Amino acid sequence: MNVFDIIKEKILIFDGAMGTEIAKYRKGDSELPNDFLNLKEPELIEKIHSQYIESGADVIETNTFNSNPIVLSKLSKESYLDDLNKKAVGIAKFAAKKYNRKIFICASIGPLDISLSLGSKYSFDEVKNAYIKQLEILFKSGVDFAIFETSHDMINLKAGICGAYEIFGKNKLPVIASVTLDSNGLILSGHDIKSVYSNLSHFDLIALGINCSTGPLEMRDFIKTLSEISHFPTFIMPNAGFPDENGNYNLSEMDFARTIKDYSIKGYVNIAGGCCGTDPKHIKALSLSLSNIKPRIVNKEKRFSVSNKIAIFEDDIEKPFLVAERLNTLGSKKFKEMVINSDLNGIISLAKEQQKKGAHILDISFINPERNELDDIKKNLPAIASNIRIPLMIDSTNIKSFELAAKLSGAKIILNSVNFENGNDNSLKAIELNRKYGSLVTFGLIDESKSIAFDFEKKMKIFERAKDFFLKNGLPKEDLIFDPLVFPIASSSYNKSALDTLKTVEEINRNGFKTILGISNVSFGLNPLSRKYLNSVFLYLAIKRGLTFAIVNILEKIPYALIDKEIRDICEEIILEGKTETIKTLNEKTSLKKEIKETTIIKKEEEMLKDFIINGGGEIESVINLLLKKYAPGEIINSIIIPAMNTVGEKFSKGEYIVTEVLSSASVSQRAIDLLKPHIKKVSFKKYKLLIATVKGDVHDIGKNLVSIIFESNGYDIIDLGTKVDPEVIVDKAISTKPDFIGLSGLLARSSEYMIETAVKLKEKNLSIPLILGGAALSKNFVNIKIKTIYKNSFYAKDAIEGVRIANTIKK
Amino acid sequence: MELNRKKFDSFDLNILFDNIHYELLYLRFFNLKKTQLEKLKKLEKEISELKKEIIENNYITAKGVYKIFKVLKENNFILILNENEKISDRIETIKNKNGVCIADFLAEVDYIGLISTSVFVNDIVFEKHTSNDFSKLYIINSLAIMMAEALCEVLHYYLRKDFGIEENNDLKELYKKPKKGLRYSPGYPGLDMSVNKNIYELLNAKELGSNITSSYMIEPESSVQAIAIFNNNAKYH
Repeated sequence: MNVFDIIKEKILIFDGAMGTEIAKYRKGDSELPNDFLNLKEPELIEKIHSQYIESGADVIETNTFNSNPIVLSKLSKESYLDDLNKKAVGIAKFAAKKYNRKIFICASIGPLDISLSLGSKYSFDEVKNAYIKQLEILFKSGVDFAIFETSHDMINLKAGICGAYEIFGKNKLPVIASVTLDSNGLILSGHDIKSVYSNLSHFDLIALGINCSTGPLEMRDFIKTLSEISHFPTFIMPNAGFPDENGNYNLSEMDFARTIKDYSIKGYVNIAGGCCGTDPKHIKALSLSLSNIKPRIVNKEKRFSVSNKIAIFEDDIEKPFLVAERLNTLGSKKFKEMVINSDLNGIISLAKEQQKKGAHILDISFINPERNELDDIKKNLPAIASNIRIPLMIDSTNIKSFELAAKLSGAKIILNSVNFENGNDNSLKAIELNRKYGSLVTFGLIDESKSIAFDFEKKMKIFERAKDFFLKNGLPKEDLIFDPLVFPIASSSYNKSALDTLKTVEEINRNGFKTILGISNVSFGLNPLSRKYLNSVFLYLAIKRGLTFAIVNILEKIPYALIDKEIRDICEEIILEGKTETIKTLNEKTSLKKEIKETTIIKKEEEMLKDFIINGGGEIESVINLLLKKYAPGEIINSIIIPAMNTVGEKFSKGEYIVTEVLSSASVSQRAIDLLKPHIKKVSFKKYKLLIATVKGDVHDIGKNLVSIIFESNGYDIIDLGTKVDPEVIVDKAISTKPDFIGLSGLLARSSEYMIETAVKLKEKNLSIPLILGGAALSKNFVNIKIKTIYKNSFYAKDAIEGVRIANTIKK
Repeated sequence: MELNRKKFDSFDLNILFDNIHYELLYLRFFNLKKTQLEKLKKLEKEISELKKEIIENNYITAKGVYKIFKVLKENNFILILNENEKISDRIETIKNKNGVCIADFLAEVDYIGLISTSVFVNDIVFEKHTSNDFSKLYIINSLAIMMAEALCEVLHYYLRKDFGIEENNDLKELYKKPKKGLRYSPGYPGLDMSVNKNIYELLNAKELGSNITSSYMIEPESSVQAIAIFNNNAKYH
């Protein structure tokens, strides 16, 4: 029974963690990774394998996570490559042999401790070859399949699977790919689960999934999304929760299995296992829980998508896909000079500007006969790819550029373009690039003949030939895009060229294929203002005929609806009827129009202060002075500073900011408030007061100070009683200073008792000031059960940001 | 074997920086996991720049004291002997659910090590940074707390050297290296918080400038105390 068949019948069970299990039997860290135990203590590894098999695992992973040439060379142990991998497989097979049922041996391939997306001394090919070496030994030794697990970098992962592709060719790849997502659903290189899927969807894998980083609960949204879009079987292998302060994983086997069972019942899962912190108990619970549950039905069709760090699926947007054209050495003098001057910052700014303006895809071209195009790609593309989230189109006449771009960016690029000018060769190469890298292929309607295909009949003839060629040679229909070519209408000898181009778009679309046009070409040579209008009308006409991709100047687009009917009609005459003499009239009409200039946004002071706070830096003194001329200080605090800190708080809760970034923002906010303080008249502005203390016997300071800072930068006044404060003192101070809130913090178990005592004393004095409690000594449960029952107005806050949120809600 | 008390009034911060368990630092104080490499790299850079500033400007003073004591075992109690071989203190160790306690790892007559460390953030820091750079202050305070643990690790190493069971001579990343015996801190399974009082008094840790509170917590927060057992069969509960 092969694995592809079994997945249809049941949910396949993977084994649990190896690393944390080994740690139970061996004390102390060694300098070498656990893989070396294959040689030193094979019985231990065999024992762990056996325990997992006995717990119900259908698949055991070989102990080879680090046994890769690149990782081993860092330890100067490359010579062990063969032995480590061979022995690992041997141990696994030996363990599996003892049992009566079929146990699959899966080779564990780790992600390497480098990140090609973030920059590494290794190249794509070096990584690929390292993986090939390891894979060859493993498969020769007899593994059933391999898993690239805990993948954090798309380029690393692609290099690995390309390696597998080179070994196994066009057959089904005996490979599972699994990525590790942070709590925001991103892998290190910035991809989400959708773009991971899209980037790998051209391979024929056993399964695609998620492992490590979190427990099963946090994976819910991601496995659900994956199950909705993936035509591969899905794979989930969570940790036993999050590690605690001491690095221990505490999620019980029942909770672990229950959550995965829930996902399975909902139809999200085909393969499940356990990662860090799981042990045979977890796998036993998992195997029992899933034994009668039907696996997810895998009948999804592969949906068309383009991707870089984000994926855009065909139905996600209303066509056409807008491709931004400015990063083109032929089309933009500005960009050409940036490349010559090695102005990488300028290039990235221009790229980001287009992304911001709403481009779906970024077109990039380094064509320059005076320079080495491949060198320019090597120098500039990695930085562009890592700073840009949207998919990339590579514009080149050199077939080598496309593979280079695919390797450097790790993205599913759109290759623009190949044609039949020099025969079939380049097109065949493009098909191979599609198989290996998933690249989409743009074909320009050009053949070997000397005459350019201006007219509709010629274009369609080339289309027919190309269509047959590509389909016969195995290119998936949905990955093929046709460019009927756009010629400058002013200088073209054939004045119906624009019309015929549109006709071709319509006909190709009717045939069920995708199309692309370089819109701006139609107006080449005209004055800039006329160009904008003519381009806009031409685009509109092409969209109506089903255009899929439009290469446009995204920064200078005029919406069709905003164009006067008169000018629209003139443009349509020029395009559809070939009345090039009307161009003169167009120039006259457009020069009369006031340019729709975008009001240069001089950033107002309000915006500036908000940005300074959110970004955690900036020269605020002058901004404050300007604002004081317009507003009262209280207004500035309430309507700019506090909302800005709220935004910071949200970013923290979402995981976009870590505590130091919040504190940098708080510093700015605090400085702003300090500058405003001298201007605040006594009565005009109400500030809420927080009385805060660390309870008796407890010297826990750092957390309490964090709370003080965050509250203060959110506009509260703070009375800090310090540490080791007696319950009686807290209550006395509450009576004398009349705060709006009381905050208590504590680290020790004992401190929670002092909090109860404080609550009792507050109740005795008939106070009802809201009491907010936090610190490692507490939990929400504790507050609800032990404190709220005594003092009703009590709240638990897990961190400073939540505390502010609670206080703000009570304020209202 | 040296039975004298050893006190350090200003421990070399470079050694402590080499012994901070950075992974735990990032997890505990910044909620950063191994996989969030971009934010980690940024923080690592901030910390390595701050390290220079801390050392050059004397922001932090790390103090510690340790001593080897001869002891007797009585059931689950460890009886500390003074120079005249008289019992000067009793430390209670707690049995776990399998009935095992720390005292079980001792012979009838044996030796233990006691450690107390306190890391002080000096006033100069607050003078320079009052109401200004909260982020920096937070990092300095977090480092101080981790350094107290790092100093405890180093002093544990010195104890093993004095006791004659330590062969390694490299003072970097000691927490990663295998060691003979274990150390236990009050407040963790096996030792009640009150044992902090025994350790504090037996070592006369007051000389370091720290205090002990009514809840047996050592002040400043960036302080660690521990009992070191030299027996290689010692385990955690």
